Amino acid sequence: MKTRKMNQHAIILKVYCYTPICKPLNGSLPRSNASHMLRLNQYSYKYNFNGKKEKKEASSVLYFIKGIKGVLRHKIANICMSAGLDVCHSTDKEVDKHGNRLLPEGYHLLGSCVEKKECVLHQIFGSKGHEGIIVVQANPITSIPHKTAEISGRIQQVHIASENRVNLTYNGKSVQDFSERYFSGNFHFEIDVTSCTPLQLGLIIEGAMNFDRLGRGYNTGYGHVQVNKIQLLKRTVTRTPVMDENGCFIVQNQITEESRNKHFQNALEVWQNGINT
Amino acid sequence: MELTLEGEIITPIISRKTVFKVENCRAVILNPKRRYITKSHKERRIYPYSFIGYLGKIKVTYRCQTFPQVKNKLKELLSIEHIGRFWSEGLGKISWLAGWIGSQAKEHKKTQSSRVKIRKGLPHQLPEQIQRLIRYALLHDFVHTPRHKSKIYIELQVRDVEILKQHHENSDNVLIQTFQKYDRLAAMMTRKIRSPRTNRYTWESKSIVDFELLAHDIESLDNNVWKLYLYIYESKELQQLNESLNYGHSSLRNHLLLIANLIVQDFLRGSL
Repeated sequence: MKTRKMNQHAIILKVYCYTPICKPLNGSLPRSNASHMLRLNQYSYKYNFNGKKEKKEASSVLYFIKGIKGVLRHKIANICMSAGLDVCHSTDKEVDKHGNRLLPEGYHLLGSCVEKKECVLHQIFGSKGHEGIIVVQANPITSIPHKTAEISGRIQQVHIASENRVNLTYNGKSVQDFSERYFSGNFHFEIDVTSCTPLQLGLIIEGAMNFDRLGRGYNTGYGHVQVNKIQLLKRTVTRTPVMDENGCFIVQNQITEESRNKHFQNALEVWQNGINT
Repeated sequence: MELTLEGEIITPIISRKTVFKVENCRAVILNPKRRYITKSHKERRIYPYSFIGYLGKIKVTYRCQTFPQVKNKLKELLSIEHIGRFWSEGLGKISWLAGWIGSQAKEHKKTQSSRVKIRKGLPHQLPEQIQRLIRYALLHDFVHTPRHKSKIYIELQVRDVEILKQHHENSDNVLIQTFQKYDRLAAMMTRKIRSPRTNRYTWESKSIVDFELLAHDIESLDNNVWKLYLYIYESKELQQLNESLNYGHSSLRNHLLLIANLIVQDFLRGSL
């Protein structure tokens, strides 16, 4: 099985966003008409009950935000196209089996530029057989209704609910009704840019600034995302096993973060100069 | 020496199996919860691909002979952040919790499983009670009951037919109670894949069975348990018939032999 090892000194681009309603759905569960987000483990926590000292236990479901990397890729491709650069398209076939042309003008086939001159998009995101250099991930999201909840660990609190929709009615009765899960609120995601050059980093920052959509139903008003803040950090992670007498040990994680404002501005300048030249 | 590391899976690891290798170490997913991860494609109109992922706890074990080897491997394993495919999208993320180092590596022996072996024949010496129980087990499906008819369509004319007909009912008879325990155990072991049928022939049967001849042969062997067992063991006709109409792959021969062998196994162990 393939593994990815962590960088002890990683450079991370943190993007803080807000969405009124967003549906990054995974699919419907068996024997139900509801489309769900990718469901993860249950998160258990304690909270103070009625302002007293006694504590109660409760749990909430964690969900995974899908599709961030795909949106970022499309945004960066659009920026490159507007700057006059030739980049990879997401398809590796020119024509489908019905004879329809899949490749738009200005793009080349996915991975066809590796042998000649590798495009920026392929350098960052890679293709089949060529690994990319960035990791895009977001902490799992939950909705915790208790205000006095004691939360530990990396989770994001948002509002999660399901929306019922009716697709078809007959004599006033719904024939095809379905529901979709959505979330709303502030959230953030991280991009690991440790092995990126300043030019690539500048391009990624520009792509993150134009990050405006996520999930299903953009044309009907869903999935609009607003970027509030972008931060470049240097994160150092140390994992140490604290040994016991019996040969057992507990793994302790220590994380420290420093801001890198100079590198942020420098990367944007390098990218804009690169376009002009 | 043996090193074990336990961790929590935060986002699902994409793999077909719950046992795999990580950095030449054996990794097992404990209490696995299956998740289907879909991946849609924008470039052309196709159905979204789906991948199988697992959540739960991950346990990694490493066996070696010296302490420096353990130390190096521990460093290597602690630095792992993602396992499996699509790590660039945040899948397969893990966090290590705890671990321990064993002083001596356990000898890797295969544990003897308590599998039932189908015997070619019954043991030579059997007490009368066991003989009665085995006879009851071998003949119980050839009589009409309120729940089902005879599984060879013809009811046998043997002794103690009325007791044989009660094998689905609640009764105080010790013989019936002990039989029901083994019958249910054998049914649980053989009924794995549900495949409904409208007749008694299994999905694999090709020829037609002469039920009258089969019933006549079984009736003639009523007095001798050893011969009856051998007849069922060698019978190709009973192999073609199913034990349950809902499970069209489980054969009647295997079901009868399994009950008899479970009884014999418990008798030889001394637990019956």
